[in-house]
Amino acid sequence: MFRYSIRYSIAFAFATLCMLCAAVVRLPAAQEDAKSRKTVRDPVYTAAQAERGKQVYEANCISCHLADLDGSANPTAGARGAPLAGTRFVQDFGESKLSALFNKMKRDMPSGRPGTLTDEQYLDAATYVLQKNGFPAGSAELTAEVAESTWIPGAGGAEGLQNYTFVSAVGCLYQDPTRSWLLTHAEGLKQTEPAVAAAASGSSDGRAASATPAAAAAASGEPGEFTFRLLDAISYKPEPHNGHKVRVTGHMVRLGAEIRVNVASLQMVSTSCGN
Amino acid sequence: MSFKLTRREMIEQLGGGLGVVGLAGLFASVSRSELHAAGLGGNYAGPALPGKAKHVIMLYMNGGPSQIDMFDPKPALFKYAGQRPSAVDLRTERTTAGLMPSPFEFKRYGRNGVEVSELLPQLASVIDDVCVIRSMYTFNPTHTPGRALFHTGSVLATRPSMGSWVTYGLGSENENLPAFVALGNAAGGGPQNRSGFLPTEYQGVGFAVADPDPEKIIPNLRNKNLDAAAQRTDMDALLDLNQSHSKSFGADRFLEGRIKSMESAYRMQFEALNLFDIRKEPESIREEYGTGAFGNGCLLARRLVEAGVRYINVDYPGGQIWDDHRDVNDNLRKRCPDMDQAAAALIRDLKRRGLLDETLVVWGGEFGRTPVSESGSGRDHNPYGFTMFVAGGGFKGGIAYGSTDEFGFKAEQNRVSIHDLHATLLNQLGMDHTKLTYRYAGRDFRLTDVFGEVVKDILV
Repeated sequence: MFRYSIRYSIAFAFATLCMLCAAVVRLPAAQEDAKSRKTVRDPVYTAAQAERGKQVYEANCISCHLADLDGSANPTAGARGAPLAGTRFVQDFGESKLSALFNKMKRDMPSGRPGTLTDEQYLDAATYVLQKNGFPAGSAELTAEVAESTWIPGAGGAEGLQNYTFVSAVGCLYQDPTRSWLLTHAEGLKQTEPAVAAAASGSSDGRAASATPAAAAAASGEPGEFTFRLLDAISYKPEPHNGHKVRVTGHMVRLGAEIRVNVASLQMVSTSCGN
Repeated sequence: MSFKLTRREMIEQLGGGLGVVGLAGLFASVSRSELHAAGLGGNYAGPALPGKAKHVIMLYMNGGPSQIDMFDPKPALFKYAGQRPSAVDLRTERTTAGLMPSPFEFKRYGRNGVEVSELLPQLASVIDDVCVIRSMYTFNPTHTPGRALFHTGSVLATRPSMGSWVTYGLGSENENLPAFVALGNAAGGGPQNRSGFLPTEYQGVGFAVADPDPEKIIPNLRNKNLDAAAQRTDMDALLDLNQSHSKSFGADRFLEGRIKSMESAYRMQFEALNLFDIRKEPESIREEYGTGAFGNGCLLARRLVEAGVRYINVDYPGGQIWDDHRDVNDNLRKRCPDMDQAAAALIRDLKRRGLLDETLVVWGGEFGRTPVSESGSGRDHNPYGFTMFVAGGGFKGGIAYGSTDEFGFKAEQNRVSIHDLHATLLNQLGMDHTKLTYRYAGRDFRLTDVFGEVVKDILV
């Protein structure tokens, strides 16, 4: 009985070891895949195609999704289409293949008469959405095959961080047309300690603090590539610093493929945000 | 000299049982106003309160929607994310983990800056007409009794719904339609439309609204084999038989209820198919509400209010769908847009037509959800503190009343029980909730049982 158990234990240990080895071998490969995969940051459409897409959009989509593509995120317009730009676009389609956007349009749009456009028109409209989201145009037109092999990136800037980690970031404070506060052109989020953040901010009354020597060092940094939506920024009276470079601390929170920061401190580091 | 019949005299002079009363509108021998003057419009016998509301549209979110993600922002949850502070008892019926902040953005809307989640941009745009009650609480953490409490004021499965009480009290405004209609899930029965011990005529008539074709909403309503005159002859023959039965054996309230149902169905043929056809609405209106089942339900509810229906329950489709024990964030993002669109369109549309002052639009579920997580991505039931809202009918707009604790778990300030809300709604319908009673099994019953206080702070 005893020997029987040992034999099984050895077999179990061996199997576990094999699985661990397989995981170790596969993990870098998966990471490499994510890094090397083609995304919409690589040009996948032409400017002429996006122009055609604009016409399709204006004829079929604009009444629900609006000219700025903010759709139902713009509460005063009374539109009912999902926002197709900005953070909500990242939430809905980030970390998906471009074909997910194409297929969704083809399956459900235009509202009330889905499937009534040609594949080319759906592709053109998709390229207009990409253009409005700031993804670059190139020399080759988007095809259904390319859409199937191209990814829409997630928000990024928080790799390796767990949900609700306390973080800091420097970027440009911006209030979008829907009155959301964003941190744009931000560097990636960095884990920090709340006590350290409070000491650096030099403010404890909830108001946005002005630049301190500790923060001034951050002002000279290069603009980053990330955008984070700020939650509860209003508690820190951010209006005077709209368009300023600020340092924000708070808890990071993931919503789909989007990264947000629930603000715990907000500190202006420069009145200039570059471009 | 005025001539006024008693209820009993009116019934006797009409020559039959209660079922005959339903024929009055059709034969026009007694006008609707005369019926009301004779006291046949309703059974409420208490003092007439100044409330001017005439209709109720109950938007029911079956399963318990998450107040923390929609109406009750709690930034403190971030500070304690993943933790269970020992000073606070956060236990509910299931095993739950640490505090889970909402990832959704709240902004201030309207003249008073009421905070509403990004999930509800359309409702946020009409917030000045909405009274958000953040301090609701109820007495049971489980769906079936919770639903019964929400709709009937009791956990027992035999009590009449609020719709039945309201129509019992106020009667009908349109004898050619049921006074109480339940759209959506309630088509199959339940506390949303049950009349319990109240006479069967006060039961809510259920309709499914996923398909806007009125022939699908009310299948087999039109008699394809007999014209109106032939049907009338049949009905009269049946009526004669029933009258003979009544004379021989005395009144039978179940038989009377059945007669009324048949009369109601007969009359509905001529009005309902037209009324229930929401496809006749302008395209812009259908777009405004949305063309899903909930949009259809809300739009139909407005048409029913215009036609004089007293109480309409609109279930959000999909059964107990707001019961987000897992994946609450993803589920809300999928589910909120059409709910938000239709509910806001209903408020906007009623206001445009001058009907919001006389219509109570009530939104809510049987309870809310916990600030702690369940299954890693969901929230458990929370009857201790949750949010409902009421628009119109003399409720103050643009306010958030009451509050929960710093985590959004228990109602703390200006607590409002479900009985308090029922009492307040009846008050706005002109009825004292302690005087709207029905004698059954040897005692007088109320919608609010022995509870309920009118919440005057939220009334205009």
